[in-house]
Amino acid sequence: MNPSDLESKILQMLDGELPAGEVAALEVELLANAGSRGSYQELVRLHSTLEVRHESRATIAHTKIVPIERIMARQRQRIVKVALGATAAIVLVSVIVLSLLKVPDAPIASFRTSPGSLFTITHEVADGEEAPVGQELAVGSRLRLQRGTLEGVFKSGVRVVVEAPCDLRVLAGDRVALDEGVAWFEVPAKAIGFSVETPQLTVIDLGTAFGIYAIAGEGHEVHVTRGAVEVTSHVEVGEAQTLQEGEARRVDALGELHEITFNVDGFTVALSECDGLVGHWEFETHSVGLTPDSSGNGHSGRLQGSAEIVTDQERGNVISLSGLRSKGDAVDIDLIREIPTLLAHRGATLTAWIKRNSDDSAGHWFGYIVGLGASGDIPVVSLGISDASGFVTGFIEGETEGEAEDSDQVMVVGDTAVVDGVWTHVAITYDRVNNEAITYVDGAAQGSPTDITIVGDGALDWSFGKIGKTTDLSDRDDRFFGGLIDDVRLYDRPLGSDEIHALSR
Amino acid sequence: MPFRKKEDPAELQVYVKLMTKNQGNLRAFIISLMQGSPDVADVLQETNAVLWQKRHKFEIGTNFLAWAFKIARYEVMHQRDRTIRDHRLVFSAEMVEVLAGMDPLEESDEEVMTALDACLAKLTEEKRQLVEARYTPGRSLEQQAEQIGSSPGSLRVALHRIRTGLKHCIKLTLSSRPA
Repeated sequence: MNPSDLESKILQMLDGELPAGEVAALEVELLANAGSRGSYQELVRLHSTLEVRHESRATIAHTKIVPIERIMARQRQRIVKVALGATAAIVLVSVIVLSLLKVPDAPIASFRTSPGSLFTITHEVADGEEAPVGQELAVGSRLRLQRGTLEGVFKSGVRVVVEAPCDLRVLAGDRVALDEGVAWFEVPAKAIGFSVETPQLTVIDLGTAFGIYAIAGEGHEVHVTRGAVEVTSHVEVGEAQTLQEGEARRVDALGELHEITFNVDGFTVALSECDGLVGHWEFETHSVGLTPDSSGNGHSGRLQGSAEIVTDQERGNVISLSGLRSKGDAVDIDLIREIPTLLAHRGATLTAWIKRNSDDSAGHWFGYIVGLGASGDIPVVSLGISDASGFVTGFIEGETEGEAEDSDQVMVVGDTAVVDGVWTHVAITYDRVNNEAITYVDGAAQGSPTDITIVGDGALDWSFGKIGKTTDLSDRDDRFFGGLIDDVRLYDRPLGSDEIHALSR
Repeated sequence: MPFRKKEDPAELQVYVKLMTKNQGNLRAFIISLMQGSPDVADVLQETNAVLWQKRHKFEIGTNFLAWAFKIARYEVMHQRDRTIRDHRLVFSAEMVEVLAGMDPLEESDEEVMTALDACLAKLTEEKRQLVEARYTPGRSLEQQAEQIGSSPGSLRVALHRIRTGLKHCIKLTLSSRPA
């Protein structure tokens, strides 16, 4: 091929105008001739530089330019805000610590929290009175739960379970204000008359168990699971009704109470006692876009994009994901920052039931079923399915023998292809004590465990997770899972093969 | 010992500069492996994302371009698999490996851009307009042909000649720059 022909064909190819047959001929020439490759390299550089030059000029012509000084000033402001935030936190902690130095007065409630919960308590006490000590509440106490789940018991026997975020004030021994949050109350017969006030509603117990959604910007809801309650709205015209077991109401902007579908599954009614179960998403229900965490740890999932809960003939309610980036379907899991400490010692297990769309493989590389990591970073632990092979595959942050030196992800791949359109139980266990990981399909271990050499011995950077996509910036079509997912479980330890097998039944 | 080493602000600044300074080289490298496919921008974005995620793995003072090309090659191969499934044309794996193994051109993005500007300035207005028509987003050779009463085919031939000339001009300009 003479130089002129060569250059002409290269430019045609870069313009996308070279016929397939001639591309093959050009490839033969490039493979055979180092000089041709040099020419190719120079023309590609010219082509790329021309594109960049004109793209940047077009961008500059249509872009409002912000001076770098302004950007720097904004960054400094942000730093100041963060610093002030940190200072505020220290002051708050100081107030609490000071309150702990005082001798306690008679508390009226005590509470415990799920592992990893984060909360603050403040007390209003008159001169001469003492504040409660530790995880106890008195009249005037304000409890703000930023993370996790909390179970409180009043002296009267009233039991309350709240999920973060929640803002609860104790107004009296038989009266609390739920300024924000999702809470479930169980009131014994001796405490009939116990009342809960939200900014929109007052709920007076008539011997019962009930749940309240008090989410800012939404109509507050009451769901009665046992007995009866009296509900009064404070908004505008106001309205009062007595609700019986199995009934639910939502208040609207005018203060009228509207009948809604009763839904007890949206409430956490007890702290989990399961060993190592950190999160459990059954997708049986959702309210205001949140699907509850059945583990009791309060890691509710937030539905994103067009993700929706649908009813499947075999498995009941499940989450349905399109697998398309344009729709952005996923379930975000937040508030799991305390897990790293546990993970650093024991490991993790991810399990799920999946039913992949039969057409999901088109154009896909790897569908993430669950990814856990820092926001915007590659997952530290993930479970997915490889499009090319259909094998269940996981990625664990770490290193192993034989991996590329720049890789910090160890691939744990199975050897059984998952059949599209069929419900399949999949899992990955990561044993951080013995430094190995393995995947499972329908309860059967896939090959031999993969060795993992851990980098350092600190906690894994794990602040949130996603179901149906990855946590990192690779927001591409081929990183989404398309199909149905159900019964996702996260453990802070490696389950045994017998336990995985039991979950797959 | 923390899982990730704590970032040194000075090292981070150097890393960001390296990423910024080598965008043109990186882009050209990806184009060379992908025949100028429309997916180049996606792969470049993906490569940049991975480069940022793996910043703590890079040792300042070692060859950044070699490091970046290695990651880019990996991303190109992923994209190549998808392109094959879409029945679109790609280079063979052997071709990609051979091209990826070539030594990068030694001039910096800035030097090449300066040389290009100088060479474009030597063109006639008519020829510059033709290059603008080909590379400015929103413009096309067809529009240009209609505007000057010529055929798109003849403009393509002319454009090929102009670009070949620009390539030689840049090479000459770069080789004659002071050491």
